[in-house]
Amino acid sequence: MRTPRSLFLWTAAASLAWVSCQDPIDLTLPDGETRLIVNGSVGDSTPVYADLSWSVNYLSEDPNPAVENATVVLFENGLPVDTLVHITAGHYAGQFRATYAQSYHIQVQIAENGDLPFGTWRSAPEALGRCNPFDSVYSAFVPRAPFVREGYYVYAHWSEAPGPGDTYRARVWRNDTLENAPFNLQVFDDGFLDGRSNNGIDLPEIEVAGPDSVGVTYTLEIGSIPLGLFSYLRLLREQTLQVGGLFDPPPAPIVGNIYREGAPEDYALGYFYPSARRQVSWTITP
Amino acid sequence: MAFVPLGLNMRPSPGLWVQVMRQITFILALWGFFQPAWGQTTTLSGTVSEASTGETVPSAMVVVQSAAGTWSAATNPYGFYSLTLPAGKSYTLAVTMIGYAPFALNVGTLATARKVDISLREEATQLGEVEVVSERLNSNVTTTEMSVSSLSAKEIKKVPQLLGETDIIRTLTLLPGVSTVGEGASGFNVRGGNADQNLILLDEAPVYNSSHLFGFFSIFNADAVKDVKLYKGGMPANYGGRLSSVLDVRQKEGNAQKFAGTGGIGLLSSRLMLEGPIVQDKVNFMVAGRRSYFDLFFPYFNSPELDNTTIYFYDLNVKVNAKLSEKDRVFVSSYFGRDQFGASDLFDFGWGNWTSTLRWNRLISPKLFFNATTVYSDYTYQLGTPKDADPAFIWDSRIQNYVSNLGWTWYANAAHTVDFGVQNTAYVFHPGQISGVFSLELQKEYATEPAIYVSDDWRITDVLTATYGLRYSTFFNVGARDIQNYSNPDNPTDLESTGLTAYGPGEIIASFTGLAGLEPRLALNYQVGPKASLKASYNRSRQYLHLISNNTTATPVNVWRPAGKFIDPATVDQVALGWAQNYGESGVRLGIEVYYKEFHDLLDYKDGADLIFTEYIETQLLQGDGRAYGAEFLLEKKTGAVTGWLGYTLSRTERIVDGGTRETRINNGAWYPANYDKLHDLNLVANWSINKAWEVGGNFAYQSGRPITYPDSRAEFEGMYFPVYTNRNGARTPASHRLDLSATYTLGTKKLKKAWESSLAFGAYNVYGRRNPYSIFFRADFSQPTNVQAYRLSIFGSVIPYFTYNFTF
Repeated sequence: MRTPRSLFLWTAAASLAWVSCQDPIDLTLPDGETRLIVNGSVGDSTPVYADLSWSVNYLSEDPNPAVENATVVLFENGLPVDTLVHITAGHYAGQFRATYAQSYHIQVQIAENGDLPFGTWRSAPEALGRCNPFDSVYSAFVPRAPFVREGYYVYAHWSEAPGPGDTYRARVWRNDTLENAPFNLQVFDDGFLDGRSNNGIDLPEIEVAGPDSVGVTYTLEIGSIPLGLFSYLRLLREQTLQVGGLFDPPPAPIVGNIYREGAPEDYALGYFYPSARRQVSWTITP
Repeated sequence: MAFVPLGLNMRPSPGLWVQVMRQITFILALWGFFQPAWGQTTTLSGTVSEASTGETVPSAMVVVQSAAGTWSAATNPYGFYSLTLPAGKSYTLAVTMIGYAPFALNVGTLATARKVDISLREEATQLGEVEVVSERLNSNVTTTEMSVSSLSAKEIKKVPQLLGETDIIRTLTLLPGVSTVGEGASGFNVRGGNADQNLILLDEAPVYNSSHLFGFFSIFNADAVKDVKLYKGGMPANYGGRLSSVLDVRQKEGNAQKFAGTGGIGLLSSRLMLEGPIVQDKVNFMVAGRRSYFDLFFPYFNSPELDNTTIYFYDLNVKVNAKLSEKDRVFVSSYFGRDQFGASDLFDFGWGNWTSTLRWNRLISPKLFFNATTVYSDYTYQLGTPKDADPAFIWDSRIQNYVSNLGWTWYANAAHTVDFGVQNTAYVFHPGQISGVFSLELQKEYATEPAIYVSDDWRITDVLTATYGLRYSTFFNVGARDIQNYSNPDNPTDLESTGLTAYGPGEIIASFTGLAGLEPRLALNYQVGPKASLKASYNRSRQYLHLISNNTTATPVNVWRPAGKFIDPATVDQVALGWAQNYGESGVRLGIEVYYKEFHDLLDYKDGADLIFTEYIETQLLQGDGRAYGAEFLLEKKTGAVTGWLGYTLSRTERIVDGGTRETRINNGAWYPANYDKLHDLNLVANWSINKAWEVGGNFAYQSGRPITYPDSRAEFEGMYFPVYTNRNGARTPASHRLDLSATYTLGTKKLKKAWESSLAFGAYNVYGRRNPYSIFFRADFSQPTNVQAYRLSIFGSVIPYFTYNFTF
């Protein structure tokens, strides 16, 4: 279902489209301050990992440089439980898996190396939330209708755990390829659906993808995420998709939960979070 | 307490100027009322109206002369004037108003109070006509009013417009001190104020959304409008509730002499206004309607999507006024307007204003005028699926106002005219209600804003006049409502909620009743000669309502929320200094003003604030301060075959938000430019009546670029790249400029008298097709995320021609 915000934006954009125009221009942006970027997660079904890199000029065509000389330690309820090993290109991995309702954070130490920042950063402690498994998944053929394209659509049934305050992220793979552009970022909370079921009766079923061809396999994942990551991803989506237009919000810093030890105002970029992930797959059949 | 001597070399800070002006206001208030009263006096009073329609004429200059001296007064918003004069003298009376032929009358000896009603004839502009009456052109010099722009509907209609749709607000933005964020943006900004800091009144009813089509057109149908007055500063004490301006729009009262009509058929919309007497000379009416219709052509596009698409707006203005007696007059007026967007069973979106005004004018005595007004104003929007869709989702929001005003004008003597009154506005806020597939309602909010005011227009000497006054406003946020409590009330966050407190119906949740509610107002005019004056003004205003919007421009779905337990009212202090100068008898006026404003407790938003359907909105808000300063130049020519103006504004508008932590600071607590800060703003508007048949016009607008934010660097999250912003509004768009042209051909000018008069208006907006940058933004190729391109967004990408057929009968 479209959200009220997207409905409004769609309407506004449609009405403005007939007169407005967008032209590509050449622009040079100065280099800003180099900051550490830490992204990582620990799941109840997936082991801990962290990806470390440095920020670069916004218009750089190179990937962000990897941080390969860091020491990364995972903590559970304030106690160290795993030291992550550098695998390749700034990717660090461990073996530890999270437990429901326990609190997790990581610590990153970087030794002095030229002009790059160095020191110790920590993520804010976050507790592992809960996530119900899927009830079912299926595909169905939908005929053409206004604003609906004809073809096979994949649907899933899923029930939210009773009790308010849960936040989730959904991800979709098409034939094992993660759909990972900013517009694929899907996060939701249980504000409107606490304890209810997306089973097509209580609430509409979840539309995973479509229209697509017979034989294509889709995997849907729903994972619990902390409230902070929920806000972070919503902001990330907004700041990468809703830009420059009449009704778009102002640019804003996207700050995660990584801070320099002893200096909470000095932040690194990225987010480390625990997540309970549930997956289901379906291959479209006639 | 420490005593600090004032050093000789110490320059007063802007804050000190505010203090000084405040003290002057207080001293004048005490002094003015202890001036000696006159001995044997009498009163000359009456109403000034237009001869052809019977419409009252506000702001007309009434000048009375005798061997003993000269007395003058301007008519009030209802066309009434009153002058206290020495009794037993012989007088002549002259009434002047731009656009009307001068009126003169020998009143004779005035022994007792006399009522003289005056009808002004509309002036037909003749090519090469020489203007000889100077008084009418000097009203800008003689009045204490400053920072005020008055436009008649006739003047507004002469300005070239987008798609030929006469737009009052777009025309106002061509005046100094008035701007918008960019083309197509809704609302307007006055001297560094946000769009929600403008009190927009239509027949005294507050209007909460003044735009149709997301800001492309204003809701005011120029055919139904009599006159428009914009106060950018020096606000009279009877106005309050907004920080930066008052836009007072008065609807026509209807032709009291004969049945008449005006209309037009354009590319975008058509309109019709009818007016006439219901009971001759006693009751008359005006009704006007307008509707856009480009959606009616959708079926011809042969697209199933467009077949069921609706996009239109309409509005309806109605006014009836009745002369109950020589002393009593009653007005009933209403406005209803709506925008509607819909697409098949996908979505349905509508918004609109409804205002109704009931007004009673009574002349209690020749020296005492009374006005009572009661107003209902309602702004609503609905967004969601069509009601019969399955599943349905309907989201409603609304704000309702119930306004009561009682105001008196006491023409005390030749030196003093005193306005005083009481006002109250009761608010009901419905932030949001969702129905359909699930039901949810944000709690309603209730508030009331009582205020009293008094002001005196004091003619201190023949060359020095002052208008000084005081407004005292209070505000009560009342239940029933549950209020969330926080462990740190200075920075409320959902994570630090400590539970709810339930307030019963009418129970006070928060009140603002202290001395901070005092709003002194002062305007001084020192006439240097017959054609020049020096002016100064100071005013403090307080605003208890905030538009919750962190978009670059306000949207129809933004909601208003009142001051309360966690949201303080905003205040502004403004000082201004001005020079008014008229040249010769050709109607050329020069106005120069400089101003400085200090804002306190302005709303801003936490990074990534979620403002849509948020119950406890305080968790998303920050409050900060602001300042704005600038100089405005206006050279205008009001009469003759060529009319128009050249306006220029040099200004700065800045904000600061420093809440003490990273989350509650913007730009590390440093000053940063507001979204609509533009250093230079130049507008040239000209209209030339070539002959009786042809009239051409044009306007050229130039503005410096507006602030925007560029990314400092790039980061990533799980394979998605995103911009890193640390310096809000640290860059600027390139400058904007535009030329608009228009021509009007009046049909059948050779016939002497016609029942049906018509004209063809055509022209073009953005004649040279300039793609003015509204913003510059970046877009990544998501298949190659490091491939980022910068884009310039232009709202109007090409020349936009128009054609309209207008008629009157």
